[in-house]
Formats: sequence, structure tokens, C-alpha cells
Amino acid sequence: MPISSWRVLRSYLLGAVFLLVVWSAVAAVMQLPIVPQPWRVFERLASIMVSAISIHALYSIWRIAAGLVLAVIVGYPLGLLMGYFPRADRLLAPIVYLTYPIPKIALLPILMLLAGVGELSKIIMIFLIIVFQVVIAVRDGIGGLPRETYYPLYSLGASLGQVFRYIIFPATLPKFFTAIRVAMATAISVLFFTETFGTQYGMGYFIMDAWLRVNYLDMYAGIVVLSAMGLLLFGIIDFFQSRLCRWQ
Amino acid sequence: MKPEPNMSSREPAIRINDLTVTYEEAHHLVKVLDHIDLTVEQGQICALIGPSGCGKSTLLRAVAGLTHDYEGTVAINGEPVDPHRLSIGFMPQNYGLLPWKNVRDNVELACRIKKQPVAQEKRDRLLNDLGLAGFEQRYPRELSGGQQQRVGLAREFLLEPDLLLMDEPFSALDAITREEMQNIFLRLWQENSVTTLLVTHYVEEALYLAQTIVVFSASPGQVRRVIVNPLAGDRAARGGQQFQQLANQLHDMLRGEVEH
Repeated sequence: MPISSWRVLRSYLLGAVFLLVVWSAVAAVMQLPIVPQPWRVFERLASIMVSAISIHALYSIWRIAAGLVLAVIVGYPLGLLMGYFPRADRLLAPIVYLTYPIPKIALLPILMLLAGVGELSKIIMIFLIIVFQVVIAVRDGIGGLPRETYYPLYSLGASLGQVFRYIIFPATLPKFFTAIRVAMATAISVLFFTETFGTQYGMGYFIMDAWLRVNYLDMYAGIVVLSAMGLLLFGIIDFFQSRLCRWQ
Repeated sequence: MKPEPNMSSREPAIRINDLTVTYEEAHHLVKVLDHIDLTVEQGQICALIGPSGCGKSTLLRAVAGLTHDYEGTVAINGEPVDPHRLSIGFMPQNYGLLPWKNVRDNVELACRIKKQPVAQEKRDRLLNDLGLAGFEQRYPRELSGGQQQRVGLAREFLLEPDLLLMDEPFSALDAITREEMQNIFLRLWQENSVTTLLVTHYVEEALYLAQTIVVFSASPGQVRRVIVNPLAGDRAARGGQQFQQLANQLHDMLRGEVEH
């Protein structure tokens, strides 16, 4: 492992230690069941991770992954169209700008009526949060390219496919990853909310259920898993970005 | 198979007839180029020189087939400009490197676009000659301006295009690097003699490189004079008396255009 990776790992470990120390101190001062000591939470986590939590974690990850894939499948071509063809942008930009600011969570009742309270409405929710970010990132990524970037390819008679492969795809990748990262944080918190309705699986369900059962150790274990999931997702995005955008 | 046009060797490489380009800017029309006539013979270097805003870059874009929004005709080897059939190397002011491709991929890019096999031996020889050996895996941002320029040249001379167009290729470099690059360019050109049209605003550059120098006037751009340059590619003549004399003449001509 190169030195820089060690440094990153070390700073993450230091951050985690710092948070645990603060947590432990708060628990020691407050002496309330609602703020248990971290070591007790981790003890509980170790005993129920496989038996009770893993299925919920898998459900949550599946919903995020499905929503993300859908958002990329729909959003990337749309952003491409709007970025490369000014006419498509003129047509589609108003629609995007009018719908983008709507808080997606406000659509949840409608979504649940139309798509049911099950999997589909949750996945569509994640999709709606990520897709706009992707569209706008790809569109602006292309729009930010100087015209001159294309000239050497155009003068050689490059096809649209070649222009995409050699210019547009690599040029839009950094913005694309940033958009996914930004959208991911929102997606996770909204997922939590949607999982409190109409399902018995998912980290949102697990945490709310533990709370209602006044089982604070379970609840904290769920929160730790949820934040670890977020960290994992960011780690995966960072990994792909550093592999694919080495030129930066 | 289509018969190869035999006359192409006699046809001038570039023939521009009565080229007029008008832009619409803020609701009124601006004429950028006004009735340009220009020919460049096969295997020659032609320099376009003129005050800024004389439409030199616009002319280059028309020849490259990047715009068809003009009146008049532009023909390459006697046929209308068709980037799909011809191979036209276009080097913009920033050298046209793709920041996300390393040196080797940038050099091979033109051949890949043209779906030509990459002559690896030639590629390595070019990289070597241009002092880029060992830099194959580097990305453009890790290179100096002069090195980026050389990557751009390696790309063009690996492809050996029918036509090479360069928009102020050496102007972003410092004076010493610029001279060095001009020498490198001349050496490559003498090996391949690719027909080249280059835009510059350095009188000395035009005199050192180009057999034909076309002086433009500004807004709208018109051909003021066409000068046949006996000193092109003559390193010894550079800085000599005749060179200086011609340079002064050109300077005067350009100054006259600016004051116009």
C-alpha cells in the first residue's frame, strides 16, 4: 500500500477514535440509558450483526444500488443530450429546473399511492434524488468544455461515438462522481425515512423498531451500521474515481 | 475501387476562392473575412500573419472543415473539404492534448480516430527524437508547455496528415523554447514535407518557417499581400541582414494595418 493510502487510513482511524472518546465522555457524564457507553453498543453489534442486522443492511444497500443504477441509466443519457445538443437543452432545461427544486420527500405520499408501499416506491425515491444531480453534472461537465477541445477530433472526421469515447465520457467523469457523492448522502437519509413505512426490512425499519421497543443498544448498533454503510459507499465511489480519473 | 485522382500532385493543396465569412453578433452582422483568395502548393508551409481580429483563426477553421458557414469555396487537393475522407491535422493554440490521456495515448489519438494501425516503431522514434522518451505514461498537466507542444507535434507527424493546420502553435512558449520548437518542427517537416498552414503573429516566425507569407488586414480580414519568402527554413539566414530587412518590411506593413 502506498504511503498516501496509509495516511488516509490513519486519519480515518484517528477521526473514529476521537468520535468514540467524545461519545464515551458524554455517556459517562449523562449516565442515562438513552446514551449507552460505546463499548456496550459494539458488544451488542457483534452479537446481533449476523443474526439480526445483516438482512436489514442488505435490503437498504439493494434499494440504494437499484435507485442509483436506474438514475445513471436515465440521467446520464439525458445529461449527455442536454450538454451536447443545445436544442435538446433548450427543450429540456425548463422541465429539469421546474422539477429539480421540489423536495422529493414531499412526493412520497403520491409515490406510495401510485407504486405501492413496497420496494418500488422506495427505489423510485432514491432514483428521483440522484437522477437530477446526474443530469446536471453531466450536462454542465460537457458545457464547461471549450469548443477547441473538439477541433482536433472534428478535423479528423471523428464519429459521434469517437467524440463520446475520447472526450465526453472521460471529461464528465469527475463531475459525475462528485454528483453521485453529494446525492448519496441525501439518498441515505431519505431512504431511512421511507423505510419506516410499509416494510419490515431495512436499516430504517430496524432502528425505528428498536426505538419503539426501547432497546437502545439495538438502536445504536443500527445507527453504527448505517453510518458504516455510508462510509463504505463513499469509499467505493472514491475508489472508482481515483482509478478512472487518474489524470487529475 | 475509386481511381486515385492523378492530378492531385498538380492541384494546389489548398485553394480558397472568394471566401467571405459573416457572423451575427448582438443582432448585427460582422464581416470577419472578405473575399479571400489563397492557394497553398503541395508540400509547402504557408504562414498567415496579421493583426488580431483579422479572421485568421476563422479561415483555419473553414479549411479544417470545422465550419461550413461561409460563402465562396475551399478545396483541398481539388476537392471540397471533407474531414471524413481527408486527414486534416488541426493543432489549436493549446496544442489540443486531451488532459485525460497520457502522452502515448495522446500521440496515438489521431491514428486511432482515423482507424489506422499505429506504427509503433515510428511512434517510438518520434517520441525519442522529441525528447519525450520516458514520458509515455505522464499526463499533459505533468508536462511543461514545450513538452506539451512536442506531444502535439508527435501526434501530427505520426499520422502524416494530408494537411496540417496550426493556430499560433508556438506563441504560448517563452522565446528560447519557441526557437527550439521551430527548429524541431522544421526538422520534422523536412522529413515528411506535410503541407502546412499556420497562423502566427510573429514576423520572425513566419520568415523562418514559411515559403509563402500572407499578410492580412483587419476587420474585415482581407489579403493585403502575398510574399514569397526566399529565406524559409534557412537557419543561417536567421538574424542576417536580408532577414532583418524583410522583417522590418513586414513589421511596417502590419503596423500600417493596425493604424488603418
